[in-house]
Amino acid sequence: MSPALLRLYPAAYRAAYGREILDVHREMTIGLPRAARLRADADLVAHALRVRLGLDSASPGGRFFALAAPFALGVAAAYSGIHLMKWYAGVAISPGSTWSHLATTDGRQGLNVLFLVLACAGAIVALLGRWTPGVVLVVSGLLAFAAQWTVAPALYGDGPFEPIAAALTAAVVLACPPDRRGDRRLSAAAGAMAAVAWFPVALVQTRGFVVSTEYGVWPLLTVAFTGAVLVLHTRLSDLRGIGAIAAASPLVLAHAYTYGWL
Amino acid sequence: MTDRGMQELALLLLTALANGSRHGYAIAQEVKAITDGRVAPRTGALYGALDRLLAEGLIQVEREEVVGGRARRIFALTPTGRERLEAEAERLAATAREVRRRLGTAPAT
Repeated sequence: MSPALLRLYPAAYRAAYGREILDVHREMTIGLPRAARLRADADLVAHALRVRLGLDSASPGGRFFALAAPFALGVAAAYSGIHLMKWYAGVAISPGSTWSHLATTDGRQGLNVLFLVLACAGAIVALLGRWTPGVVLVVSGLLAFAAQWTVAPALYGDGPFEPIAAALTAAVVLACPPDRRGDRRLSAAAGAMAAVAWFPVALVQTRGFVVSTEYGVWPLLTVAFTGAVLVLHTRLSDLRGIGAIAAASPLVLAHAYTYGWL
Repeated sequence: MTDRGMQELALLLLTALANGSRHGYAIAQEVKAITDGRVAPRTGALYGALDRLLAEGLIQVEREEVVGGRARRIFALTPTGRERLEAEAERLAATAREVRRRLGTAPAT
């Protein structure tokens, strides 16, 4: 690793510990194969950027995003699950054969569904405890979903709210410090929240539960309720819970704006 | 770190410091030895976790020394860190006892 990369650390931190960290890094990477050394360098760069951005696990920012990230994953799972059910309903329930619908699916639509599948599967995998592969999938899915808006805006309803929200959700997940990932209680709560947000809408989409209105606001209500429970469960004075839920909720806000309020 | 249990790396770092103070590289080597090479912390993860344990008051910088022109901090457990590590060891031991009891492999007393 080049000493120049130490400049990624904030000046005060670099002055205090930069030399020590660089020496330890050199000792730890002696004799490593090139690929392993590159991974070690990337790990150190990530640490430097986290310290610079105030997102390391010792800082308030890191603790905040450690709380928000599981709920962002839950929101990503619910949002992508709801949209996959919409697609499924369009293909399997509407008149005409399923195969004819699939055969005539536009390539852009097909990619859109693939990105949603990646986001949904990745979020579930991460919440079940396999954080790294899950986060790779969910972040890839969300960012690709967001990027596709630039070439196929017609797939996204009114305005760029949902793609922007998808990118923000990916950022919240990535901001979680490595040694604060995968808190089991938070993951379980976020998973339950996602299931409650998704299931009634899925019933409506598949006509298993006949109502005449789209439940665009339901996922947002579920997330808001989860935030209230989180705050009551911790401490009423602890506003971090509300902030974390707010940081996790852009996708359900955008969904509510598009389907519930418009 | 929740009350229900520590993350593995934090637990291993505290364990590495349980029988003596060490500098960063020695802690990483000790963790590798404790886990038979299964866990080999990278520099960023190591210093991220050490910063956090320092902030939580579980470890402290015992002294700073210069060896071969290299300045380095020597880390040690604080009394709070020792208490926390003992509590964690007891929690893990209780879980292991229960596993053995249910598997019927508990040693005869």
